[in-house]
Amino acid sequence: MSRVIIGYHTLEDRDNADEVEANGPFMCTRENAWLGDGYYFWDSDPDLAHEWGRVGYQLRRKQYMICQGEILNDDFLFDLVGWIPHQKTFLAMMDLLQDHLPAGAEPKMVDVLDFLRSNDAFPYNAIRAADIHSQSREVKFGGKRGEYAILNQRTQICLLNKKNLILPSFRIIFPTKYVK
Amino acid sequence: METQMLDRLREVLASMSKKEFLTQWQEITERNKDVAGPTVREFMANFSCPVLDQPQHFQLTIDIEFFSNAGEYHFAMAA
Repeated sequence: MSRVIIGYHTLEDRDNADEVEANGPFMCTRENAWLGDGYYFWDSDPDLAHEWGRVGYQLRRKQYMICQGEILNDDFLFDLVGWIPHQKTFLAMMDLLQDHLPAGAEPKMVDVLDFLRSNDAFPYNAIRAADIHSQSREVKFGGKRGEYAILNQRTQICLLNKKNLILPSFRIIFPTKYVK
Repeated sequence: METQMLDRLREVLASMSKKEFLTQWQEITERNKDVAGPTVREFMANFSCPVLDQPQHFQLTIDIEFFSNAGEYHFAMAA
């Protein structure tokens, strides 16, 4: 059964709302994109999209816009957040690669994904991954050793193509002057 | 599907010579060398410089003071 995730895509506001809604989302090819080239969405949290707008655009004296889209969380999404078999497979692949590398080499997530994609070994349309940021919360289970869960991780979805995006749902939600 | 992916990776690795693998791996890591959060250049552009597109020089000074619980300087005590 597939579920739908609401994703938020931040872009520079070039006063081209119609073009964005007709042709978006747009591929990110920045050299430091965490999961490689793809269409990036913040998972379920518009505040993260605003934060990226402020850091990525406003501090450089540019304006930003945010689009919302519905993303299918189905068998073609490689889910490193909510699906333990995918996490285990990823770690097994990383270990396998590490066995072929010189001692001490530490592959990054993007290196592993890049190697798979370059060798036609990645059958998914999208990747979902998360890190911990200032808004993440540690919630204790109450055990004597202080064990805790980490909630509200900062989660991104990188679409390698647009197949998992329900295209008609893609629309601008910020700034409000563009909202139809 | 994840099992097929793992099998496919094993196949790929088995089909490559060590040299071929390391060459490809080096190309990938070189391509991804900046993936570690914002680069210094981006950090400076985003947070530090109100005057865009002009060379800037920054100097960072850090003052560190060490206090004991009684409020005395450890450095002073050591001296």
